[in-house]
Amino acid sequence: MIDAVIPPQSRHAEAEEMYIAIARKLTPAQQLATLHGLQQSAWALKASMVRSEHPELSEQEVNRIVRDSFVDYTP
Amino acid sequence: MSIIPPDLITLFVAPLNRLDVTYMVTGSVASGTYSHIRFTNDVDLVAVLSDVDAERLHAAFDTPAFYVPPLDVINVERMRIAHGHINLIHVDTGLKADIFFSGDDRLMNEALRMRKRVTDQHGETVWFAPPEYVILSKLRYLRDSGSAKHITDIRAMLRVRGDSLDTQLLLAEVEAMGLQAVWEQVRE
Repeated sequence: MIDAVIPPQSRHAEAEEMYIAIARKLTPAQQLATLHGLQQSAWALKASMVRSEHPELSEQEVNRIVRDSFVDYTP
Repeated sequence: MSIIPPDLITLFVAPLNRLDVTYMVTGSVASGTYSHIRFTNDVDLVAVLSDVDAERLHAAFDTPAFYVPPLDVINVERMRIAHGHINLIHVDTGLKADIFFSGDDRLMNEALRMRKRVTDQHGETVWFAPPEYVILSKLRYLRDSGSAKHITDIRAMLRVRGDSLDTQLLLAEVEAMGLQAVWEQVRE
């Protein structure tokens, strides 16, 4: 195992700089589209998980559980 | 005509399936899927990469659409005993994958052995870390960073998953990993 060829404090600096540069270039429309995609994906993934764990539930019940998981978020 | 915006699974998980890489989704995407959804623009993944896997992963993401570290960096990170880690970034959306390599980390390797398969709406397989691991991992991050988001996520998982969690396993690992103080903090 290699332990420290690249110093831990600098190994991700390039990725971090790249991420900041990309985030700054995104237009509001791109940000909105991305948020929309994240929302759709999170909903679908949660529904898939509920279906896999509770195959006995109807689609209506699955959708209710997923909807509640969005609205019942209590920090 | 509406265009479906890309998402974290399509961008980062589906290619890992095609490469036949051993991985699991953890972090906030996993805790959100197991309990209450919290928006995040990155997906945390734990993976094991062989030499060949590393080359194939680099090639798969080495396009103008993504930022991917150089292959030698991937190889250094995947060989670390602990805390090996790389980022992948999708240029058009700023969506990101944090890929952690399991190395000799006992918890990560146990979780990979017990990972949970879910098929998404597109028929794509998504391997999830077991919920107990997601909680333990977040307890570890809470201890190390103090970030309040982990408290919120863990409490949501405990509330929603409740009796379905393997409490015996969870408590044994909390003790074995010396996480009692942060465990008490989230249970307050």
